[in-house]
Amino acid sequence: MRSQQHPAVISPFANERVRQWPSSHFRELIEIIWREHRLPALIVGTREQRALANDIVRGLSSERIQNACGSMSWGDLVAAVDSAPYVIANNSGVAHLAAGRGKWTLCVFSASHAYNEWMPRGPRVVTVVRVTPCSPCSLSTEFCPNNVACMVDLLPADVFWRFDQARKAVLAKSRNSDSAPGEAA
Amino acid sequence: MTRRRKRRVAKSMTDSSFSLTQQESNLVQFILALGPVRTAIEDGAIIQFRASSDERKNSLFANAATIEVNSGDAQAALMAVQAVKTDAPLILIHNALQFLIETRQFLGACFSKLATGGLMIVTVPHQFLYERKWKLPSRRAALHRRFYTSNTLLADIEEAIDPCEFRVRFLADHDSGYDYHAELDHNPDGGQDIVVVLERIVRPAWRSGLDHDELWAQPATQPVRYLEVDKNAPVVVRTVAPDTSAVNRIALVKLDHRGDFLLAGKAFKIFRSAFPSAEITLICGSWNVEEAQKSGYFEHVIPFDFFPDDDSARLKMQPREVLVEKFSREMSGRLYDLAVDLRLYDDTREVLRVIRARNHAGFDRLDAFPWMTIRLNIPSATEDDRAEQGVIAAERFASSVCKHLSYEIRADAPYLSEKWRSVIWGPYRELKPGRYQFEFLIEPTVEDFDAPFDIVFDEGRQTLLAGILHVSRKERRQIELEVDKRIGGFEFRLIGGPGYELKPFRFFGLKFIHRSGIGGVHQTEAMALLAHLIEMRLTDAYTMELA
Repeated sequence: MRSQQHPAVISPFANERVRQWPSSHFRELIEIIWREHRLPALIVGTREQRALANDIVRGLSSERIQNACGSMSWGDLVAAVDSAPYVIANNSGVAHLAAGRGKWTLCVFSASHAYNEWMPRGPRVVTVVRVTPCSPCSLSTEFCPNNVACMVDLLPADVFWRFDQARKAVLAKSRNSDSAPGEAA
Repeated sequence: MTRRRKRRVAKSMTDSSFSLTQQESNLVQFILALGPVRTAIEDGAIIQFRASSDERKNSLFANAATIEVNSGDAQAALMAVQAVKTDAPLILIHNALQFLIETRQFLGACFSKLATGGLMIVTVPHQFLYERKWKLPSRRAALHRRFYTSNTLLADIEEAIDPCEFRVRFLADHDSGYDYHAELDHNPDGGQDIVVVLERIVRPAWRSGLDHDELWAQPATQPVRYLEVDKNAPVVVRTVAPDTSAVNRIALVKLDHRGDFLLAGKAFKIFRSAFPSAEITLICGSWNVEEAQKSGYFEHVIPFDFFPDDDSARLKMQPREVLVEKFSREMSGRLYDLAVDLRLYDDTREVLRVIRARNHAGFDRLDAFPWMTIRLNIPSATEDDRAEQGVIAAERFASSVCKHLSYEIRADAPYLSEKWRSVIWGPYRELKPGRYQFEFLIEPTVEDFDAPFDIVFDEGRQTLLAGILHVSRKERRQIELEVDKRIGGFEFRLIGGPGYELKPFRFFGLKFIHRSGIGGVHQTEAMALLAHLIEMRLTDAYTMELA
């Protein structure tokens, strides 16, 4: 990767597939991030998730977008999270890792679980969830009869805008106050 | 192509006068040894991509149309590829990838120019033949941007090209004649490349199914427990984000008595420590004001006698709505970031509600106060697990075969059914966790008899207890039941069936005794838990719902 900037860490996977935002949405979000923030992206995951991550990055510049699935240890991941301007993840371990380390975290949260019970918590976390009548369904091995509407209909541009607005609001506040939570972002 | 033309092409491919180095000639021979590749080279036009940083400006094959791509400008490189006609039978990317600033889009674009059945040959220097180094920079070529092994080369190819659209027909480390004895500071002789040959195949029809696989969705084929989503309903999205407003002003409400105030000491301390710079106001009974002021936890103390100082005196108080109205007037104009009611019981929540605050917090044992932004649902051992007894009268039960009077269900004649069926059922009341003792208020009017019974819930799908009830004049049967969870509506059923003739009887209902399990948490712990919950919500997580 040629960019001198630390990349945004993107973790597009989760232990349950119903908690995964569609790959095409992640891909679009990565493009928006480049367009709006000029940030490169680092896709993280396991070796088994690499092929699907390939599908996300295919056609995107290797200069800016790196697929690191299967090539990082947990320690490498922690280091990447620590140096990232922000982290984007589903309701998954990486979201909790980033939130716990005080990083700006965007969690794209599947309504299969109650967000107030399971969302990542931290001073720089933005959780976006679509409200559906079927939520929480606690679906795990069964398939979703609603076409995973809670994730499919959560559109990348809207998700990015919500994250960006919330982050900007805190950063603006932090410029006027030492105690505001976003000062070191 | 005619045989003469093929001979001419083959000659040009191997012509040593065509300014190839020995290593390049070896590589050409290596590639031409691959039958399908040789045929393709002989039969069709070759497009070769060459990096502008490559000092070797020639082509591997004389009949190749060579296109130079800009090594340092990804967009320019892409434009060069895009200018090439589609349906190329053979594309050669020789010694180029390691120079390019960007390879994923480049490889994808090159592949898109290939005809179905066409071949794409990629050669790159091998990390452990040419470079002989763990990582950049290259010891031999300063402009190399990356090293390759067959593994990393294929990984880059799979990132760039859909694996359902190509097959690897050949992959090899070309090391013929390689001098493995050459020292690291020498340039060894012999082949030093990785060669991969891809064939473009028709994208299979099932390819799109892979994406749907990942979606984890399937139309419901039978009634399912999940609620349906109206596809035409507007999409509502919620954002939980850091709260940009700090907690500067806090109102704590602790209106009960001296002992209750002392039990709240731990919670007061937690609030003071969690919000060290906040201005904390305590609203308490006048009898606790002096103690509150001495504690040092509060900037302001406001007396408000919602309860009498001495409950045992049973003094007449003003109606509570009058007291709340008066308090509301007193508090008007005061605005807080957080208002907390520390009383476990619900009766003071109406006081909390009239305090103007961004956040209201308190106990909500029965989910009765959705207007509070922070609610702790914690049971009270005294209130929610209290010992009690009572009689569930006959009117709460139903019967299909007996006479039903307001106070009893009466069978005046023997009843024998060929099939199992409920004779009496009800009362669909809640059971709380704990130990129950039931006494069936039923007596025979003529003679003793046995009748099957059960106690069930979930519309009869789950059974708590079943057995034979001996209905006797001498004694009433009592049964013990251990309930380990809250049950919304239990059902007692007296059952008739084969072999069990029910003699005439009178049924008056069900007497019950519920004994407490003495569980739950201490009041001090409960208030401390609430204080910690508020701290986590407003400082650790620092979150609020935006929409």
